[in-house]
Formats: sequence, C-alpha cells, structure tokens
Amino acid sequence: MGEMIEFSHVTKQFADNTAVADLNLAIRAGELFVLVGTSGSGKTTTLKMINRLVAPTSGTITFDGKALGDFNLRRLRWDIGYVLQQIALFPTMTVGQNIALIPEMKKWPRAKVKQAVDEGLRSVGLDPKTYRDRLPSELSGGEQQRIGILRALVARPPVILMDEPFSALDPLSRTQLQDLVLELHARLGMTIVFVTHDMNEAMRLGDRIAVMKEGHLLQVGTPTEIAEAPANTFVADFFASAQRSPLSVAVASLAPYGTAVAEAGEGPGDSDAAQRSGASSAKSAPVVSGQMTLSELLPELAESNHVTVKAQEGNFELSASAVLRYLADNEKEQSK
Amino acid sequence: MKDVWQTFLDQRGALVQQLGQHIELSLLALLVAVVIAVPLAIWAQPHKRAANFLLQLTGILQTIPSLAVLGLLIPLVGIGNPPTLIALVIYALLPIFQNTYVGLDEIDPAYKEAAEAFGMSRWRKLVKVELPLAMPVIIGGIRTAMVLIIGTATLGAFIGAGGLGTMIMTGINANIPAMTFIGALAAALLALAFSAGLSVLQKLRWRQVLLVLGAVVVGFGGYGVYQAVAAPKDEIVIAGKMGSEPSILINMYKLLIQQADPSVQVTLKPNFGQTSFLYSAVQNDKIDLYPEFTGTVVTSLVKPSKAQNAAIAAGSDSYPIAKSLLNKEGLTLLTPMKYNNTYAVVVTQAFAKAHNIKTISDLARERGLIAGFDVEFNNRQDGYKGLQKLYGLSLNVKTMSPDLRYSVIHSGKIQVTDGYSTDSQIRQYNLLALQDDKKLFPIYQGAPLMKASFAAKHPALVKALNKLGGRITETQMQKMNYEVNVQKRSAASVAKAFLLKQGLLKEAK
Ligand SMILES: Nc1ncnc2c1ncn2[C@@H]1O[C@H](COP(=O)(O)OP(=O)(O)OP(=O)(O)O)[C@@H](O)[C@H]1O
Ligand SMILES: [Mg+2]
Repeated sequence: MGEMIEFSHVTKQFADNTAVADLNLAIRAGELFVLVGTSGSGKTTTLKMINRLVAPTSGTITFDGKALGDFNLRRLRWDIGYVLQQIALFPTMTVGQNIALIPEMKKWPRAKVKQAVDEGLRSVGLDPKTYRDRLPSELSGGEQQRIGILRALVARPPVILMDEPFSALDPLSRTQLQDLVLELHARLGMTIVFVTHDMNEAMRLGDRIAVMKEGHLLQVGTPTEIAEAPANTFVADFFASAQRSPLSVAVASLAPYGTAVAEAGEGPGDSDAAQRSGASSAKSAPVVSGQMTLSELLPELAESNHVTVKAQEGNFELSASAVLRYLADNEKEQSK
Repeated sequence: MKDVWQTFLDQRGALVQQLGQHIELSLLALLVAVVIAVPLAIWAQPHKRAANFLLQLTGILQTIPSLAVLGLLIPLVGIGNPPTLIALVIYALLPIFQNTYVGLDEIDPAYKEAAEAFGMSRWRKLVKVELPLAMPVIIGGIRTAMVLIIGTATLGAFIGAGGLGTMIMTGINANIPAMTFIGALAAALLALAFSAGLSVLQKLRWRQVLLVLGAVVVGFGGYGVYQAVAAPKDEIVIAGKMGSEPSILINMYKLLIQQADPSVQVTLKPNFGQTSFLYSAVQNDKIDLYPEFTGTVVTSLVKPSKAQNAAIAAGSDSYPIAKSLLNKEGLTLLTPMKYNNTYAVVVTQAFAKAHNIKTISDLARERGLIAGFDVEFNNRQDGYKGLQKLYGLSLNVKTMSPDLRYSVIHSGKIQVTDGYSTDSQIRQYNLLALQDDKKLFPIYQGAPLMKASFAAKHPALVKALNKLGGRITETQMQKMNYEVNVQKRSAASVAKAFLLKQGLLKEAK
C-alpha cells in the first residue's frame, strides 16, 4: 500500500495555542484510519489541514505524493469527501439535490447524476422514490447522516474525511451507521480518515488508530497493537475505558434487544398502576430508568427475569436472555 | 359613516387611479432599493468595517425627516416622480441592507464550512447556499421596507407624484375628513396586503420565490412598456396649486378646451403642489399649463428691473411686465381674469356697519383694535409693515396660524385679520374685505401659464382659455370657493355651473 496522505513536521499554531505540534503521520491508500483523542487534542485541526480548510503554520502535507498546495483548491476538495458532525445537509435543497452537489460541479451528465443519486440512496438503505424529493428536515438524524455520507462519497473521491459524524446520534443509529461505514469501505475501498473521541468507535472501525493528546501524536497502530502494547499510561487508560464498556453502558442503549411497550406512568407506584389496569405486560415487570448502567441492572434482572426500561426514545421491555444476547454480540465484536 | 360611503362612491375613479400610481411608485422604489441594497450587503459580508459604516449611513439616512429629503432633492432633480422615488429608495435601504447582511452573517457556520469543503465557487456558494438560507430574513427586510415605502409614498402628493396622498391632502385642504379617511385607509390596507403577500413569499421555497419575483419584474416591465406604447397621442395636462380655487379654475379650463375640440384628452392634476413645483413642472414638460397670478410671477418667479418694480409699486398693471419677462424664459401668460386675489384686511360685516368702515383708511381712524395676523403677513412690506407706513394703521397685533384666524375673528376675540380677497370664509362667516384705497397690495390676477411654444402649437386652446380673460369677479370667486369648501360640491360641477350661467359654455345636446 502506498501513502495517500503524509504529514511531515506539521505544526498548527492558533495565536499562543499550539493545536497540532510537529505531527508526522502517514495514512495509507485504502485504509480506514481513525484519529482518536480527548476534546481539544487537535483531531479536527489535523483533519481540516487535509482539505485545506486550515492551513498549517509549518511543515508539509502531501496528497498522493504531491504537495497539497500544488493542487487547484476546488478540484482537490472535489476529490476529498467531507462529513460533518453537524451533518449540515443544506435545508433549502432536497435530499437528491444535496447528494447531486459535487457531481453537478464536476459537470456529470444529468442522467448519470440521477442514476448515481438513486443507486447511492439504495446503497445506504434508503428507498430513492421515498427519499429523493424530501427535505432534510423530514428525515431522522440517522437518515440525515446517511445522506451526509452519501453526499461525500457519491462522486467516488479517493479520500473521505469524517469528523465525529455519529456523535450527535442515538446509540442504535450510531451502531447502524458504523456498520454502514464498514460495509461501504469494504466495498468501495477508498481511504477514510475518521475522527472520534470514542475509543469504542475507534476500535470498532479502525484499520489503524492514531491517539492524540494536546496536539501531540501519542501512538499509531492497529487496534490489537494498541490493546497489547499501549505507548503510555494515557493510551492504556483510554483503551481500558473502552474495554470496560459492555457492562458500563446505559441500559437505554439496549433498546434494539428489547420489545417496545406502551407508555408507562410516571413516579412511584408505576408498576402497581400498570398491574391494576392490565394495560402493560401481563406479568409485573419492575420499571427501571434507562440511565442506569447494565451492571446496576443485573441484580434486578436476576430477581425478576423481566424489566421495563424507561427511555427517552420510548419504553421497552428487556428480558434476561436479551441481555445475554447483547453481551454475546458485544464479545464477538470486541474480538474481531 | 354614510358620509364616508358617499365620498367613496364619488371618488371611486380618483381612488383607483391614485392607488395605481401608489403601487407603481412603491414597487419601483422597492425594486431599486433591492437592486442596490442586496448586492451591497453581499459585498460587505467579508468587510466588517465597511458593513458597519454602511449600516450607520443607511441608519442616518433614515432619520432625516421625509419632507426634508424631498425638499433637499427638489433643487437637484426637480419635482414629480424622481425625487419621490429617490426619497423612498433612501428609506428602504436600511431594512433591506440590514436584513440581508444579518441574514447572511447569521447562517450556521457549519453550512458555510460544508459549502467550502465541497469546493463550491464563491458565486455558487452564494446562489445555492447562502442566499436561499438567508432568504426568509431578507424578505423580512423587504417587508419592512415595503410598509415604510407605502406609508412614505403618501408624501409624494406634496410634490406632484400623485398617489393616495393626493386624496389625503385634498381631504385636508377642502376640509372633507371622509376623503382623508378613505385615502389613509387605502394606504394602510395596501401596506397590509403587500405585507401579507410577502409573508407568504417568506414561507415559499427558494425556487418559488425566484419565480414570483421574476413574474413581478416581468409584469412590471410589461406594464411600463404598455404604458409607453399606449399613451394617448394628444393629451394635455393641466395642474393646479393646493386648494379649491385652482381646482375650480382648471376644471373651467378643461371644459373650455374640450368645448373647442372634443377630441383632445385633458388630464387634470388638482392639488399638484406649491408654486415652485408647478413652475418647474411646466418648464420640464411634466405638465402643460397651470393657473398662476401676475403678482406671484413678478415677486417670486422672474426678476423685474428696478424701474419695473417701481412701476408696479406705483400701481401700474403687472401683467405686461410679467408676460414680457416670462417670454424670456420661453413661457407665456394668457389674458388674466378680472378678480384680484391679493391680501385683504378683513373685518366682520357687523363691525364695519357699526363703525361705518369700508376702506383701510376708514379703519386707520379707529384705535385700540386687536388684530390676528399670519406671521408672514405681519412682517411683509406689502403686509402689516406697509399698512403702518402708508395708512398709519396702528393695531394691537397677535400673530396666529392662518387656519385659525377666521374662526377667531368669528368668535369676536379679534376685530381685524388678514386674508385673501377670494377666500370662501369671507362669505361663510359674514366678513368684509376692506378696500385697499391707497393701493398698497400688489395686484394678483390669475391667468394660465404655459410654454410659449405650447401656446403657438395650440391656437384653438389659447382662444378657448382667453374667454375667461376679464371674467370672474372677487364675489363670484368667493361664492364658488364657498360652494366647494363649505357646501362640499365638486370643483367640476361648480366650474360647469358657472360657465353655463355666464354663457361661456353651451350645454351639449
Ligand atoms: N479557529 C481557531 N482559532 C483558535 N483556536 C482554535 C481554532 N480551532 C481550534 N482551536 C484550538 O485548537 C485546539 C485543538 O482544537 P481541535 O478542534 O482540533 O480539537 P479536537 O480534538 O477536534 O476537539 P473536539 O473533540 O472537542 O472536537 C483547541 O485548543 C482549540 O481551542
Ligand atoms: Mg473536533
């Protein structure tokens, strides 16, 4: 594999604040490269230097072997897809128009654009007839970001940049979209540079992961390399936070494993009320808050086998076997 | 209420015409303001300091009273539509500029970043992303501007631009509140209608907005072309100053001209403006003629020589002097009418009888009288100052607004006031205009003023108008003014009745 993007001795200074310090990094063609780090560590700045939204203070960046500055700026950007955390689908354009933006600038023939839009919509799991002419405001957050990704890749750029694209989504949509990214990457083989502050997400997606802290690159390696040989305690802790996860997740995020139920009442005595009216489940399942962690829920579950979880996205019933299924899935994921 | 309805029925035609003028002027002003302010705000986007400067500038422009703007513009661009249009545009700039600037400035930076990262050109970004996003705010600004323009455009009537202000002002001048009410109501409804229309536009999608705007521009352009092409060939435009008297006179002109040649189309513009507006309107071919007074010509419009001034002061006829001086300007004044509409010293008939007073000399014998004078009259050499010098008149003078003096003398608080010899109130309140036996006041005789070239081209018209030469006495004019101002008859019907009675007009069979 050749180097697609190479940073050498790149520094970015904002007034007296060094956002990125002497960065040396090579991103290979076709890999899904994840930049991970705490808030303010310089991930976004690094990413934006690739499509020249930010100019480095010193150092050089090459794209496909050529200095970035040598490219025609607009053509360079047509070859680098961009997905934002804010999604930023243009609200005055339909879904179809949003997707067609770059192909139109590239002067593709109409028929080809239309075909690409429709095929693209199908490839991200949305029916073209239903979605093409809708406005972004008529889509859920998860659907919007599917379009955001599609908009970035429809013209088949060799590189796509994604800046925390899923951090505003609910846990279920996030998992589904991570799967989508993995699937698209496997099928299309472009280079993806993906920024996140979530080590779980990094481990799940990354071919290789770069860990950043306060403008410095701490370690670059495959998820296994980082797990087995963290460069320092910061990386180790960061990694460990991800490993602890299966039992420390909020119960609400297990919604896909539960079965949705009608709205339960508020306040104490909920379960009694539900029982008397007979409107809820047949058995008296205790009601728990979706915000409690899975480990906190385990004793309760051992007791009653069923719980009703109150969550913002809708209440659902969770059984002990569903929780086991979740843990099994999670284990499979981690060891992949 | 019944009154309003009746007035509405009477004025329907005028209302529709003025509404049309009002809409035309307002839309044109709005269009010009948009064409200036929107690109300026776009340009100012990356120039914070220039933007601030422009915001303050347009803000300052807006604080200048609209009448002052019109006054300042008249010496520069004359009267009629141009100064009104400019004034309206000046007012509309701020809301449109401000909203466009703010609308663009407040776009979520994520959209700007996305557009940038997708490699859009500056133009494409503007047209595809930024303007559509800012459109509701921009249209909000246009809405504010529209309401402002429709309100301010009523002032256009002051300087001959027509519009609904004409109805409002005619109502005020002729003391017909119902007419003022109808004009104001129509202006308010128009503003509401436009505002509602624009609020619908605000909710539409970008493309639909463009479509509607395009339709307005095309429709407007088409209407303009139609107007230019379909304008009648031989149209004579006659204007008059404020008030009932000029309105009655121009109606007589119209009747006489059409009697001579029924195929001529005569358009009247009553209450068109003050002396200087009308004078420059004739010079600029905005109107063809208007009734003017010999005295006004020699005191305000042309500059007589010393010898001529002396002759006028000695009481010689100012008409030949006025006519010859106007000729040098390429203008002419037809034969004047009989009545002399000059300053008058006015007392009640009861007072005159009791003290046996007929002339100003008679009045000068009396002592300790209280007079209510208009400020200007009080200070003029051909006003109270001259009266003191020539007649030795000595009065206890209180200055007051001209609209008040007749009702005050009627109430008995003063014994003497100033006025014009043909004012209808003289008849209405049983007053008497004293004879100026020592001839202090200059002679103001009315006659049609027009370009000499126009007169040469229309000999039949000149002949028709000269029929009024030497006609109409002061009492007759007072009576006609009374009929219009107090009895609320239309100027047209009063003019027609007079001409018929005098045998100047033959009833059409
Ligand atoms: N335009 C800017 N002007 C000044 N300082 C900036 C600018 N952009 C970023 N910084 C600073 O540079 C540092 C790195 O910012 P950056 O956005 O790259 O962090 P990040 O890793 O993406 O953080 P987060 O996870 O919060 O998005 C921060 O201290 C930030 O305050
Ligand atoms: Mg960031």
